[in-house]
Amino acid sequence: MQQGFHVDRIATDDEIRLALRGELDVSVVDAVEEAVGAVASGSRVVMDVRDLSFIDSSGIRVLMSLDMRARSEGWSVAIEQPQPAVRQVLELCRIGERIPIVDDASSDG
Amino acid sequence: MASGEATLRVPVPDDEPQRLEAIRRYDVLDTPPDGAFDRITAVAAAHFEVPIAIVSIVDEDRIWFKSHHGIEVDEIGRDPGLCASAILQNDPWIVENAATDPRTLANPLVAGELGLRFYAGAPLVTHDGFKLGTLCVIDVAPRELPAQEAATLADMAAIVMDELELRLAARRAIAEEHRLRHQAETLARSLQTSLLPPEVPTVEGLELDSLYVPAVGHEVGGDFYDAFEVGGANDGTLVLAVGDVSGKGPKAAAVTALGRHTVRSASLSATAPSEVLQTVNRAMLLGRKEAELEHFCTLLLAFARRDTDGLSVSVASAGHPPALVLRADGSATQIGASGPPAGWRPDFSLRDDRVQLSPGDLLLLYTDGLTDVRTPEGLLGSGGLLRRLQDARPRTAAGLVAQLRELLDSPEVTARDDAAALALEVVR
Repeated sequence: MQQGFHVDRIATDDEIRLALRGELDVSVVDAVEEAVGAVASGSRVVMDVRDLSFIDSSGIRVLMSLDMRARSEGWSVAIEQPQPAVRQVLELCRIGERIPIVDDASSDG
Repeated sequence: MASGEATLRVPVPDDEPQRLEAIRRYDVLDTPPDGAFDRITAVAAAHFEVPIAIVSIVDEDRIWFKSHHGIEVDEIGRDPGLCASAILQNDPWIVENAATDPRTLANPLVAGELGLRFYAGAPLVTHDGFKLGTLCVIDVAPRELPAQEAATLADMAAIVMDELELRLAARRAIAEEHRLRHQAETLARSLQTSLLPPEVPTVEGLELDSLYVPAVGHEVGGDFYDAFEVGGANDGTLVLAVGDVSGKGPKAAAVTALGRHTVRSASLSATAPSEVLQTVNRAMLLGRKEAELEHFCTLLLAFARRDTDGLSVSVASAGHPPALVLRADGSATQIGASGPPAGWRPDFSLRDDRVQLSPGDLLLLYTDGLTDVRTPEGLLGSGGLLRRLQDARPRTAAGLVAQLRELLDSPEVTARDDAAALALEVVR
């Protein structure tokens, strides 16, 4: 069912950047949660979703549980550059009220 | 060696009622011959070089032989008292020459045809100290039993007891297994009953139809719908609910059941669907730890009331795709601005949207299993579903559901999740 989902993890001193590509559904949520891994207090997790074409409710669950972890462990999450299809689902679940959704002008994603 | 009176009346143990209770517990009386015990009596007879070896259970009024090697008797009365005496003490009870021993010389087994002379019986002692009976060896000639050999007899009696304990443990394990299986089946049945798609009610002036398609190869699905009329304070209100619980398996099923039951009970008194969703959110957050998100639920809820113009509907949504309104004139709109899904956060603001339906209008509540489908043109999406239905222009609730079914059954379309939908038609 899953067509080429991929997640890249780039960790620097105070930021963990996860680049998600393809379709985020129930078959790959474990891979995403695993990729996040342990996060140090005070650091920032960026979900770069510019190449994500689809997200379903299990993907939303990953984002909501990141938000809950971040609040309890003292770090932050942001979502970068969602495509319209993904943005629509994020808005439906009001994800933006808790996780900043950033549209980086320096890129045309 | 025990001393005793020359009497046929053997005293009963002090703990006799409890001892008899223990015998009942092991459930050994009047059971068929058993190879394990027969092997032990055969080994005992061979080892001690005696013609007779017996595993006996001292019952209330008889001594019953679980195994008897060298004697064709199943049970004897308790009165002659050899085994009955042996269970009065912890060590083997030994009579080396019964013809001269004052404890046994009047015993019918000694004086009678059998001509018993030698008897040694080691008690079968349960783990909690009750003596059920004996392993005894018998000879028709007098003989001596050195202390070391008496200890061996006691060891063999312990093996008999191990076998009895093993059988009791196995029987208990099987009984426990049966009990657990019964419990699990009952639970599964009641969960299933609460998860199965319900019958839609018959409401005058309205037609209702529903669709539920579980995803292929998945466990009990997370999608559900419900439709029911409310009495009490909300008398005359038809409640429609469609929801989607994230995840699969028993925990997700429990969340689904919680969501549905909370919707049912909260709808009795709530004045608007958003109030019901607030209650569902609170119920789902109850008892949850701060950083724990196991399951959440998206839910679309509609209250519908008849009025002079047709049907007045208010809709609230917790992270759920909006409802579709398909007008008799062919136009279509979406209704139900969404709040966050239920079971995520305590701050949970929702809005109730209102729409007036006239005769010939259709209302559709659905889960994203109907829109997260792959078509030749890409993912269908809610816009795609809306356009598709506008083109098809179904006239009735049944016709609308048929359209949805056709969509999911189409060989060009790949569904990836459960799909559920409720269709309502205001009859002309």
